[in-house]
Amino acid sequence: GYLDHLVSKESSFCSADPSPSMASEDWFQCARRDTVRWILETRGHFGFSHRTAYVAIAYFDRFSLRRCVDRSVMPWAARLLAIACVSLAAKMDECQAPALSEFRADDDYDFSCDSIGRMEMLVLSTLDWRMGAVTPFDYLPCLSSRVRRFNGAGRGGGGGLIAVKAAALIFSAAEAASVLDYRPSTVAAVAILAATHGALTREPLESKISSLSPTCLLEKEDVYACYTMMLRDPSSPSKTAKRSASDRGDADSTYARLDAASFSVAAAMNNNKRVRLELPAVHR
Amino acid sequence: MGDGRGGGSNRPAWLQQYELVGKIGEGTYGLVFLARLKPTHPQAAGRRGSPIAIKKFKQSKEGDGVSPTAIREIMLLREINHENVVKLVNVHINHADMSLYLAFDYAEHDLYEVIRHHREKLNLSINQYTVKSLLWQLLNGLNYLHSNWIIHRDLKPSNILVMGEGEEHGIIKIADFGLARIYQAPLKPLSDNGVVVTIWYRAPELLLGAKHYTSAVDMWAVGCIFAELLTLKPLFQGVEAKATPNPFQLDQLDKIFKVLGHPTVEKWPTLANLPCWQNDQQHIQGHKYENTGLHTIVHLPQKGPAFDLLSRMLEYDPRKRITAAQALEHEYFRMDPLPGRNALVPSQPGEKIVTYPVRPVDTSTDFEGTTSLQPTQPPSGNGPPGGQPVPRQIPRQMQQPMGGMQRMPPGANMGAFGAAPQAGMVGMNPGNIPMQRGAGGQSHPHQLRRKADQGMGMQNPGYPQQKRRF
Repeated sequence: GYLDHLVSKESSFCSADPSPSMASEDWFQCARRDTVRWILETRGHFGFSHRTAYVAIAYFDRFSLRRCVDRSVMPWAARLLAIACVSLAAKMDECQAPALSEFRADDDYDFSCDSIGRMEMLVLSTLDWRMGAVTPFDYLPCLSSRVRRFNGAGRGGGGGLIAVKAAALIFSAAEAASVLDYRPSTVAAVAILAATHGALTREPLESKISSLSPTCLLEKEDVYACYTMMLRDPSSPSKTAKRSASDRGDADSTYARLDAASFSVAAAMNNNKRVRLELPAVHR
Repeated sequence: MGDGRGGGSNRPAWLQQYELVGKIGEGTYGLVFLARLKPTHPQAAGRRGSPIAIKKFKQSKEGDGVSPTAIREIMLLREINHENVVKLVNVHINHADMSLYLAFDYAEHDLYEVIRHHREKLNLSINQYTVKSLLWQLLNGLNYLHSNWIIHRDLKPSNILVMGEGEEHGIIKIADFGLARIYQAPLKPLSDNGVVVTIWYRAPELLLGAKHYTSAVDMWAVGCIFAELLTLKPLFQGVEAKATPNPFQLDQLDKIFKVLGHPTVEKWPTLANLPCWQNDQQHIQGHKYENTGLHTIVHLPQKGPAFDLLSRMLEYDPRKRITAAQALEHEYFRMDPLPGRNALVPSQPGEKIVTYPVRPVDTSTDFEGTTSLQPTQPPSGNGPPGGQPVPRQIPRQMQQPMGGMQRMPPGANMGAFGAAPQAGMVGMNPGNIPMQRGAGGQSHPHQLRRKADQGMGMQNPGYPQQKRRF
């Protein structure tokens, strides 16, 4: 069925091996958290689906694995990337994607449409045009109906409320760490269980998981780690990223890192919050 | 060839890998060119001079960035790998105007031209082996797409390509995924896309405003194409009501009902829920259609397997309509003549081989779509007979000529976003991505040599008793 198809597809979008990346650095974690929050606010502003926001976050994380954004061009570079990711996700999943100019309204930055368009191209080519994504939200309807069947009606306040709780948990996990760390099916199953039962110890969690999705081959270690991360108090500082900081030592030498000077206008904008970003117009 | 067209040395690096032959088509999406890989092309090894079709996407509206149609089409094509589906070889970005060029393996023919050749030039029906082989391959490709939860939504003869002479001679390729959708994606009405889609192959549930439709819409189109291969005429040639924004197409429905009879809630239970059926009491529901009989139109015996298969494809109720997988199992494909890999050349000795005309090439147009003032002579073998100017309209688009494009200094664009040096990564020039296919990322530069297909873990049902055929 469709679920099996999703499960078979999702592995191709997970990060196979944790490779050295910016993800281990604290400044990047901060920038990432701000970006995810901005994406969630933007979702509300435009009325996009949960799925669209999640896809945008996944694009951001996949891009960050493949390319390095220099700290000196933060935070605007992360915002430009976020706008491109949201715009692309909306073009993939929403019936009507907003015009690029709409992303400029009441924001701290004023990117030209041309810059956003070029950033879209860079994201598309960096992600190899593989823009199809499997998200936890694709599993929620099926999993929550299984939970309802299993528990009988009433438990946890009904399916609608569980779905709302699960969505909130999924996004708080997405804020905490890269969405590539866990399989979307794992995140969905864990979110549904956490929304239904709250905190569980390991044994009941494992028995619930096996009753919930016998077909999905969920790895127990992953489920437990994901569950722990999801239910952690988001305000407490934590090392949630699965990738260790040990790669940091040689990171600087191995990245093809470019500084702000190579960016035509970036140098002029360090202290100016409201700037108009013009990417190098190499063809004119 | 190619020199003196579009600014010579100013052309971007990716473009210099191709020799432009000329323009072969245009549509609402943009232009299609015929080109050949130069030996310097990274993927040219073993396929020197391979013909390539290059589809240029029109720039989207100023300020809208990359067009959603282009993103969805390329995304789908990147995931698709099947002998009967068109193969995307490369994606090129022209950074000067942010336009996109898609490079495909070139197919010399398409079903629209094959049917037209038989109708207008030969005045002769297509032989049974060719009809069956074309249909078999079409179903094979469609079964693959549907197994991967992809609905094509715009199947019609001109979107079904047939390979010309070469190792893949007579193999069909399903093309044009501009309207295709992955199952999970939102299904908005076709009329909302702003794309001109012919209504002749559109399933009745779509014409009646179904919101949640399935892969069965593609099977209806296959049925229409099957009938057209048999009769050389479109089966349901309705006149499109262009003014109405809703999907309701009265004339098209009228054409269908005249042949297949009045649809009833008994035979099609969900009919009563379709918006246009509910809203339109006097036109359709008031009319009483007599079943004039499909068999008299397609000239098939009513009890034969061919007619049985066709009528299962043209089943009103999409839930009862035959699926691609079921159709491949149908008795029709198990009886003589058996379908084969080269649909255009029957293996029976003594049968006449039809030579189909090559695609007309407009050699006076460059990659930008601008027309040069002095058309050059078509290259041998590719131009229309006698080197006459192509009788297709040549656009005079006010676009920057190729001279406006310059080679990208590596890394000059988006310099703040460096590439992490990981294996299999895109380099600093994101405009020229060698395509890797499927989840495993295996690429097949020698696709022409590939006989079987293993893409996306799909079983590719072999031709029935293919030993007899090859």
